[in-house]
Amino acid sequence: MKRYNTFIGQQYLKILKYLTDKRKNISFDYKNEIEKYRKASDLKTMNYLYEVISKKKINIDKPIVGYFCKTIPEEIIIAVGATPLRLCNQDIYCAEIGEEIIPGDICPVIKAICGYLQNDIKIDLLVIPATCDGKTKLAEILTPIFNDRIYFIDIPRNSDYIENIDLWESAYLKFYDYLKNRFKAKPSRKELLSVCKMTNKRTEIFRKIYQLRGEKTGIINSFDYFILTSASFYLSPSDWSEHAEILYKELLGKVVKQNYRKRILLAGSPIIFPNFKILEIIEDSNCYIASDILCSGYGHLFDPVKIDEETELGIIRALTLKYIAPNLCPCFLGIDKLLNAILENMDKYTLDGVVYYNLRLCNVFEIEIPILKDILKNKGIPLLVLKTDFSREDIGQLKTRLEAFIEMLK
Amino acid sequence: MKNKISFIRRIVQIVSFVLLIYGGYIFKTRLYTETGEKLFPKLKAPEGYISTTKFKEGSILWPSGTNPVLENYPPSLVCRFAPKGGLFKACIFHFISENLTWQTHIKYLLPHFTLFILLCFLFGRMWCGWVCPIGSLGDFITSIRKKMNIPVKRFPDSFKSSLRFFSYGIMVISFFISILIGIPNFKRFQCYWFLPYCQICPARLICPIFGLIKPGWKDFETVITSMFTILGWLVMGIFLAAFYFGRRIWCHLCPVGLINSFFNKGSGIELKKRAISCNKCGLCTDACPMGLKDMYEKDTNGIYNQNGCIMCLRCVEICPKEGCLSVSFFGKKITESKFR
Amino acid sequence: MIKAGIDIGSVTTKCVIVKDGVIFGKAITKTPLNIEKAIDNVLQKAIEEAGIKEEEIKEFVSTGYGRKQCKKANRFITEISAVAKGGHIFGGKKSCLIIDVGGQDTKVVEVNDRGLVTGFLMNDKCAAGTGRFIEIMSNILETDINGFSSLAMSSKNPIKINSTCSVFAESEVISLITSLTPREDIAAGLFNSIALRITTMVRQFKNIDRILFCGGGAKIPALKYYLEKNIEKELFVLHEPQFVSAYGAAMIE
Ligand code: SF4
Ligand code: SF4
Ligand code: SF4
Ligand code: SF4
Repeated sequence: MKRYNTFIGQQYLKILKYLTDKRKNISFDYKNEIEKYRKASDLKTMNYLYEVISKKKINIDKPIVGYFCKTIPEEIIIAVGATPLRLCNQDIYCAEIGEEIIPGDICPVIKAICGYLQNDIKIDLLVIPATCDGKTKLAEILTPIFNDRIYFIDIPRNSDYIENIDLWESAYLKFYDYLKNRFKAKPSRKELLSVCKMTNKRTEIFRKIYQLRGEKTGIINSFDYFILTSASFYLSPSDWSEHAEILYKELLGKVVKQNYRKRILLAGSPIIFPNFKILEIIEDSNCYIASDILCSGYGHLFDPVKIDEETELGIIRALTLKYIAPNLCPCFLGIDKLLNAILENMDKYTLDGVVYYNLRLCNVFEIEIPILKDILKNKGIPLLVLKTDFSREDIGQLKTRLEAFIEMLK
Repeated sequence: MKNKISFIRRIVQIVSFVLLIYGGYIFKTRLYTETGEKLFPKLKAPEGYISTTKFKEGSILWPSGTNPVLENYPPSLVCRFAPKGGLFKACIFHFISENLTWQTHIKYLLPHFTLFILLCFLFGRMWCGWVCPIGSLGDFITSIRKKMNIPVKRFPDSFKSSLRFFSYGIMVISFFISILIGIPNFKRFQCYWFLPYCQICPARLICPIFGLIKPGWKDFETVITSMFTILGWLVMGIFLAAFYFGRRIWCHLCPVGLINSFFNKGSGIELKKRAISCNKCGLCTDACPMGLKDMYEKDTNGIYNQNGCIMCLRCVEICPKEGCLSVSFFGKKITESKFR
Repeated sequence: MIKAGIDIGSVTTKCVIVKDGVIFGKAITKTPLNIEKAIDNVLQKAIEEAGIKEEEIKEFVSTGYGRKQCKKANRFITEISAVAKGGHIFGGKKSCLIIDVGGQDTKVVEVNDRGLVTGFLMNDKCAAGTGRFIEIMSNILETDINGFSSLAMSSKNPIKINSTCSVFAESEVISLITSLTPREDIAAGLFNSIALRITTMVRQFKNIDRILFCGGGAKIPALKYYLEKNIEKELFVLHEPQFVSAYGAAMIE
């Protein structure tokens, strides 16, 4: 990222300095929230994961590559000897700080990211994909702080294999070369393959939990589940799979006590700790999220790397087919994938309805809604759209809607 | 186990390669009982007509053995020129061209042809993906390329369809020539134009080489044999290059596979897709050795036996969504895609 | 069987006593900060009107935005289901679309012929297109709601109001007043803009042959007039529009 006017940079730096001072007075540890959710949990293994989230446990022995969005290939970051850290963030306080850098009707996630980067974690490289407008401009906004520590990946927003596979391939290759240069590493094919094996292991165990959750009502409550998926942002794939494996064993032995009224599918904008408002509403009205297709859980962990040809290019290609092609993100072209995912989950786990969470000001999600509504209505699948932001004052209203929706399902 | 289908396929390919190429050595004699002889009569050239047995050592169409173990014509490149006569008589292309020239009576052809149709009907083009020794050899070459870290070359669809067009051309021309030289007036052309495709088919060279027999690879006796020899080299070059750079690109050109592909739709073996399970990752078309796209592009449930599909089932194996792609045999599901 | 339905809305609290599907007593009051008191208040009034004793009430269903605060209630349902039920019964038990313009929210509910909700929409957090907006605007025009309504009805050429946000609309209206635009036209413009907003909600449903109109907003003739104009369909204003939810709550099985 060089094309940046240093003059504007000075302005931003000034604001940022002011914010850094301000930030000192705000606590970021969310003790109350963590306690609240942890109390609702009846799984022992979760304790560790809650700790990971509250303490933001990451491996700082290696250089840290922070990134946003699910389209960045973790495998090659690990292969060059760095720690990938997904920085997607929905911290309400961070969003408030970010508001001062980018005021206005901007997606709160982008604001939260801006605020969050004022954090203690030292990031050696920041990778930003051009998945949405907010992220694209974010790369520019953050340049004064990160200077040459930013890498911008231009990913074409058509996720059709046939049309764009070559573009993805070249974007990833370029990124890979950059990483190799930057971290002075030359991973062999074997190393790459072993990393892929590691993430595949993670996918495997995630899929098991995902399936169990869909099949047995009440086996894991939604807080635990999203803490589990959020923990994968911090933990390395092998650590995560280890704990998930233990959790899976615990789940298998668990006796479900709670009775849920309805089983629903959660779709739409990502849910990342601490913004569990929607989950609270859903749990409060005694609904079981039997399945989700959000990019913070399902999207991050569900797809495996399946390598057809074990050449270096073949592996890179396989990575694009893991990260970009099956992407359900509405920033990309291809709502058919979203529909397929919804229909399949509805069918596979016999769910009662779909709740579509639309984060206010993340407009792409909203654009999808009319199409979705129309098609799902034709298929006879009930859909509820909950549109909201990070603030908590509309909880009552949202609850009314959800409850009316549940009454409608009867 | 990971890559289960590929593993089984490898085994089947190796076994059939050994059987088809070294069958002549392994069994030595004909494995025909009397009823077998009656059921599948041996097809002979009528008086005064040419047949492969009449070619002498070193000429293009010299078969290293005269008696195949079984007198049948299965639907893949089981070559007439396999050492010591091979396990089967020849491939279907040979069968058709030969008998067009000989003008054999239909009642002798019918049993052979029925068997061929039956085999095609049962397994479709699975013969190409699982049995054909030339295809197996090609897969082996491909795996060498992979080991050497050379990425595959992908060809555009238009190129592939033009190959298919060529394939049609080869088929029509060689059948036409075969009919022509069967007409008594043109008999004198027989010794040069007999089995025109065999003369350039790479199997003619490859099969003997694997049996450590020198094929007729430099027959420069006349202008026409020289032409065929050079054409044969060329095709051989194309064949090797195709397999080296582009997986099964050759199989778009192979006329035997073309005949086989007519029976692909409606055969017992069915490739099915459950559309709502597809997440459009494109892995299936990325991994398809024939570079087919339907199973990725289309959004309908049902059977996806495309013409080009060699039923290698790589797509089923690689698809990461449970139950998205599946194979069934006469409606009974054999296996489906899963992630393990 | 005697049942009571109580609808605790954001502006008014309503109560009906129902005996075998017929309303015996009803009462309405403003919702104060102390909701409990309001509940007791309306309940007493309704019981008085019905002429029964409180012990005779077999079931007590509460609905509306404050439903959970009602201690007496032995059932809670959402206002969507309540208005659907009430509207369906009042509207002659046919499939229909119900528009409910309340104090702080506007709902559009789609009901099939068996009285089941098949879809619904509620306005967002913002108050535009609700009763509150109408109230604020009538204040700015220095009249009450009835006066506001008749002003709007007497307009010949309604002007266009672009803002639906109550804050922006306020400043827009004030600037219109200072530019000496007739009050009638402004009022008409305001109603038109509310109606437009509700119309976009209605348009999201396919089956809009039969539209019922209830809630406090249904008592304002101008709103009905401009809604009909925008939707291009006739609206049926239900009998006792404000009590539809409470009645529906009482009638829920
Ligand atoms: S040379 Fe080719 S066409 Fe001829 S018999 Fe052998 S495989 Fe068949
Ligand atoms: S198409 Fe390929 S596999 Fe099939 S017969 Fe021809 S060479 Fe063999
Ligand atoms: S479509 Fe599937 S089975 Fe057919 S050739 Fe391609 S990968 Fe093989
Ligand atoms: S591999 Fe499977 S999920 Fe992926 S595009 Fe092909 S059929 Fe769909």
